[in-house]
Amino acid sequence: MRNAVLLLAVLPALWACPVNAPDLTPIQEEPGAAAAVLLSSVNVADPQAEDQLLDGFHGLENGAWRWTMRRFAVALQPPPPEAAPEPMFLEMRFTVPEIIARRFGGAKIMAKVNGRALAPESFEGQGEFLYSQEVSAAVPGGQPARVEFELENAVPTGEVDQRELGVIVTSIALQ
Amino acid sequence: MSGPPDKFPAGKRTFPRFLAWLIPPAICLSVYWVGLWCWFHTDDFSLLSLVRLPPDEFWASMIEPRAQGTFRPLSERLFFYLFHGWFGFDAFPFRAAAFATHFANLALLALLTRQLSGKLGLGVFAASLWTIHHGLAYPLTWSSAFNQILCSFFMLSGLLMFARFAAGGGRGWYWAQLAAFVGGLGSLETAVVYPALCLALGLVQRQKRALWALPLLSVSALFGWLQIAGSSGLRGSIYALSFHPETILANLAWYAREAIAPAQGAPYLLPCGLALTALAALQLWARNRAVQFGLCWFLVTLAPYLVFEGRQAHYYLAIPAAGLAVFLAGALDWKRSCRQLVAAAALFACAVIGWQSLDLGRAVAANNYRFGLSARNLLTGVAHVRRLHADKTILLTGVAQSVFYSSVYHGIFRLASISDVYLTPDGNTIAQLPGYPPIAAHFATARDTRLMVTEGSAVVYNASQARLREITSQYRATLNVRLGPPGE
Repeated sequence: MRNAVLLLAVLPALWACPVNAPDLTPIQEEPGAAAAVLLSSVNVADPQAEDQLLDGFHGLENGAWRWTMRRFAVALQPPPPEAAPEPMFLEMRFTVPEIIARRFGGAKIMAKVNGRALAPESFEGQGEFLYSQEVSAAVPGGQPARVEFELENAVPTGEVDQRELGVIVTSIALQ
Repeated sequence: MSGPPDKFPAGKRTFPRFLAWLIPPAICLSVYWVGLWCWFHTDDFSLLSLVRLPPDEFWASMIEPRAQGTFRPLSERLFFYLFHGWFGFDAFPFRAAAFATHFANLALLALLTRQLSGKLGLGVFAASLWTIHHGLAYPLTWSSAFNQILCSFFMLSGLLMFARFAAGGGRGWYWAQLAAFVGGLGSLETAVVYPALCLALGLVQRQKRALWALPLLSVSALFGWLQIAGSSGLRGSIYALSFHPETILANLAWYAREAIAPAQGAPYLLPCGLALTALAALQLWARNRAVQFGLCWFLVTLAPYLVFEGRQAHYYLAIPAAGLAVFLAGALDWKRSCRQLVAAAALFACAVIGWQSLDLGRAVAANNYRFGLSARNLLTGVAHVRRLHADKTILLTGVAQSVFYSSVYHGIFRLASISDVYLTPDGNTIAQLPGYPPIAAHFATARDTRLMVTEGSAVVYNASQARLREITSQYRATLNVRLGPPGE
């Protein structure tokens, strides 16, 4: 009985432990109504580029990469016309992980830039890959581009994870 | 016939003994310390919504079955009602109550094992092994699973009181254990097997009054009938009951496997399973009472979960794991069995189960802590935004699927009386999970989003990090890229 009383006496003391205190100010306001600054090259780990990940990107992992869903999209600012390379390419650095390679043999990627479809590209087996397609005709100068990707296959929600899993992306760029 | 001890071993009140009683709670805290700091998540919000109903509606709902056809007024509705009334949204008192009750459970299990084995050391060992089992990871880190802990408390205290009565104690012990039994039924339907445990405890201790457990079966029968009648609307749901032998055996195999070597422990399953089977055979033959009762406890308390057709959960092992712990502690009693090989097998099984449990239990605890923290940060942030923008719609982007299903889906904003909060149609990675009601109502349509953002009647915040980050201007500047050209 005495032991139980001693143990119960310890618990209220823990209440004041700093772990239980709110640890953050709740929100971060925009510095002002500044115009959006979009990048032409998005590293998915870059906090500045986070708002350009429009759809289908899961949380950042190991501070370096993100899983995608079957469909994912990103906003990219093409380089200014005077600095635009000719031809211009859409490039994505990504990894086909073992689980995807084992199930589907690799990944087939279809992409659209501002609604215009690019040629699909297939990647066999697992490993790191570079997706690269010419996009000069699809990207008008100055306007942000919506780049949508679609995978032929993805692991559905609930099979190995509560998330739908496509490929692992590290960066996407117009260059 | 060797007679049972007429009363509990007295034990001297020495300092080492005092320290021995502290070992299981200390181990519990070392593994599940984070559980004290877990905020509310998932089903907690449904219960909090329920207890915030007007008093007449709340009290009327006290004995209504919940979605899965369960009652549990003591461990869910009353627990949340009282603690929310006293402490509001401070989750620590909820967690502290769970830990305090669990510490009492550890002492009760140690007492029970000591009674069966005659050794305090084995009792402490059983309680220590139980507390690290991954089956307790959810109850110790999630307030909605407090029912497992409170039910354990009523069952263990009831069993000890029944043992007193069966050993020749006064009738008062019998009525007291009956009250504990009813308390158990009010906590979790698993308590329906309590009479079988009383009977088993009395029989392994060769007590003449063991048969006094039989009248308790009528209470179980009545409760079981009410439970099955209350669950008649669950056909087709994951909580649907099936008494088909195939379902029962498949569930038994799953729970036995998960109790021993969950997930990545598969390579150890076969040797550990063989060691446990050999232990059970040898020790049952040697009439080791702790082993007999431990095995019985594991199987009997698992029984109510074996009839779920589509539902298996690790935290359903919380109560059965106590039986596994008593079984293994009893098997370590090599003087009784006279087989050092048996003790070695028991130690091997304990090591595998303990090691596997620590891995999984800690992962579950860390996850639940993160769920609670995300929910609290989201709610705190949105409440702050509401104070800043009282008349604007709040749009959230970057909400992860795990955060959505552990908070937004359960009406966290409604709970805090914050209305007009939606997720943007883009920028979220949330899939409609199978078996869940449609989630579309949580999202603003592309048309409404465009309209509200353009005319300035909405603010947009990114919720992908701990702090909400306002991105209204950014969002407005990239509307066409995000939602497509107007008119699409």
